[in-house]
Amino acid sequence: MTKASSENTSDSLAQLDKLLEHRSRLGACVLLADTDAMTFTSLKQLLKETDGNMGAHLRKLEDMGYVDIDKRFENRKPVTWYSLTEKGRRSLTTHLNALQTVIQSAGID
Amino acid sequence: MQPTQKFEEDVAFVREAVEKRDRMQYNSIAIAVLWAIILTAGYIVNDFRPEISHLYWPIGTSIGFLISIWIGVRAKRVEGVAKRSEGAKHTLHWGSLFFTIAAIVFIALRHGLDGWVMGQYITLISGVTWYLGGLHLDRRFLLPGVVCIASAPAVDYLAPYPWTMAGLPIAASLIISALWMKPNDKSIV
Repeated sequence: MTKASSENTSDSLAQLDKLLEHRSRLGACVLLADTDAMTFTSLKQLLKETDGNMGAHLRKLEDMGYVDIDKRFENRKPVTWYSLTEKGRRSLTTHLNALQTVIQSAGID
Repeated sequence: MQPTQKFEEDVAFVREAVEKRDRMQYNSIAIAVLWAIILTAGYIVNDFRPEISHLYWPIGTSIGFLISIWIGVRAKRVEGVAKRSEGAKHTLHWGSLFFTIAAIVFIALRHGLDGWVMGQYITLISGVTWYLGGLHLDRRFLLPGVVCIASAPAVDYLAPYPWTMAGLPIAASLIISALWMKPNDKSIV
C-alpha cells in the first residue's frame, strides 16, 4: 500500500459513521433507503434480530434523527413503520462511500 | 479480526438482508386466480352469450383492476414494506393496458369492426402487455403473455367453442406461473 492510498484509507476510516458501524443499524438504513417505509417486524426478521435488540438499534437511529417513526393501528394491532430521514440518507451515503474506499484500498471485491 | 474483514462481512450481511427482502415478494396467487376466473368467465360468455360480451368485459375487467390494486396494497402492508414507486410502476403498466383496450374498442366502434376481430386484438394486446410485464416487472407474467399472444390467432382455428378453448390455457398459465415460478420483482433484462 502506497503512502497516498494509506492516507486515503485513513481519511475514509475517519468518515465512517460510528452509529452505522453496527451491521443491524447499517442494514436497517440500507433497507429503508430504497423503500418509503418498513415495519418493525419486517426489519427485525430480515436483520435476524430479537425484539429488544432491534428496538434498541432503531431507537439509537431515531435519537440521531436518521429514522422517522409512524405508529398506526392496522386491523386493531399496533404497527410501527420506520422511514429514513434526509439526514439519515446523507449519513448513509457518506458512510457507504467511505466503506467502499476502505474495502477497495484493502483489495477486497 | 481486521477492520476490513469486519466491513466485508457487514456488507455481505446487509446484501443478504436486501436480497431476502426482494425474494419475499408477495405470492400473487390471489390476483392470478382472480384474473383466471374473470378471463375464463369472459371467454365462456363470448361463446355462449355473445350478446352480453360488450357489457361483461368492461365491467368485469374494471372490477378486476380495482380488486387487484386492493390486493396488492394489502399484501404490501402485510409484508411490511411500503414502496410507492413500485405500486405506481405496476398501476401505470396495467393502467396502460386498460386505456389501450378502451382505445381499441373506440376505434372498433367507429369503423364498425367485427366483435370477433376486436376480441382477437384485445387478447393480443393483453398478451403483449403481460409479456412486457414479465420482462420488466415480474417474470411470472411471461408464460401467460406468450399463451395469450398465441391464443389470439388460434381462436380462428379452434372449434366448437373457440373462445373458451383459447381462454382456458390462458387461465391455466396464470395459475401455473403464480404457483410454480419463483417471484421476482426485478427486471430480467
